[in-house]
Amino acid sequence: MDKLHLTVLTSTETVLDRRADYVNLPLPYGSLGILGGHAPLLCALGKGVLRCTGEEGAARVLVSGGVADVQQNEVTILASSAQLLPDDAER
Amino acid sequence: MANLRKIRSHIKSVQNTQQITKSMKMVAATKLRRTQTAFGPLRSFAEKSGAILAHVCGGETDNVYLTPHPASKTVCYVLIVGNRGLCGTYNTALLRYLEELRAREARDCILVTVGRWGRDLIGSAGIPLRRNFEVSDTPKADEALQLADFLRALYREGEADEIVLVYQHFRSVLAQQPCHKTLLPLERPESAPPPEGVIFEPDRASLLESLVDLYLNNSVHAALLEARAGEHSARMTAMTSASDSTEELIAELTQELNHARQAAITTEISEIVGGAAALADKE
Repeated sequence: MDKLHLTVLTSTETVLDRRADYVNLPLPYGSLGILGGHAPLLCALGKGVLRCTGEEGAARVLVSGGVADVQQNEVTILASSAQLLPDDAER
Repeated sequence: MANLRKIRSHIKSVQNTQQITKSMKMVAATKLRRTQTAFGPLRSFAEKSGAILAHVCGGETDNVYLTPHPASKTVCYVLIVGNRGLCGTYNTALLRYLEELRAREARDCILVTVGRWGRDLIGSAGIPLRRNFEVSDTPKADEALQLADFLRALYREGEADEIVLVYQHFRSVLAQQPCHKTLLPLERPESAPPPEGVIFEPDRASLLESLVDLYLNNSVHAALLEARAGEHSARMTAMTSASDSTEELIAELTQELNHARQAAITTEISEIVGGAAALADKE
């Protein structure tokens, strides 16, 4: 299956930039999973946790508002604010 | 001797001033560098959001910030001045520019200021001041967000029909130029057709709303950063020339001191010689 390339940008920094197999986006109502080869998509984001898994490990980012752009396995997130969560916070 | 002491204390005080101007210059240089590094991520973010905005805003989709008010009666100037003085003509040039803008404007004006400098001065200039914002020396995203939220509300509630940012455009470290830029209503970007078969989630209108918000926050943040970068470099330039002048002054004073000292020595020698000659005459 194709790999995704995920970039999470805010106006002050690039929060995350890595290859991933699966990305889960928080939408205003519910969430949306993206796998490789997804159709082109533009969507508004809600407040919540974005998750991604892949060879480079799993990561979670707290985002609040913004938009996501999915095109040819490039997933670009433009977030009003985003914060990378530490791995063990969930436990 | 009294003269010598006076010159020495004068030199000392000029040296103290020089120390202050030199350290202010260094502080400004550090702040400038910090502000400039913040530009990088902002620019790539702006490019990306601009490209997506062009895809989304085509067609029938409408947004409150993209539509000009039917009757434009009030214009709101957002004046971004420095936090402090001692930066040459940076602030005063901006104030003069605002006066020129107002003179040409037939509509009512309200004013929002950003920065600590000249709050009282502006108050006495006769423009109704709507609100003053204080922004740190390297503006953060949340400070920009606060200001952007306030401006959006002004526009949405009809208090202002046009919102114009007035600030110093950062051309280079040595040159800034007062400029104005209309923030709201947003100029409709040239729409580029979205790629074939793209899915909009949940729909185009709400997407546009999110994007416009991001775009406005970004524009405000960029203007704040640009204005602050200009302020720091103006202060750096002013302090450099102040340090240079103190250097010159110290050189002049040192020369004067040497003259005075030489004159004192000469007087002393001629006194001794005179005294010796008088004694020789006696013998």
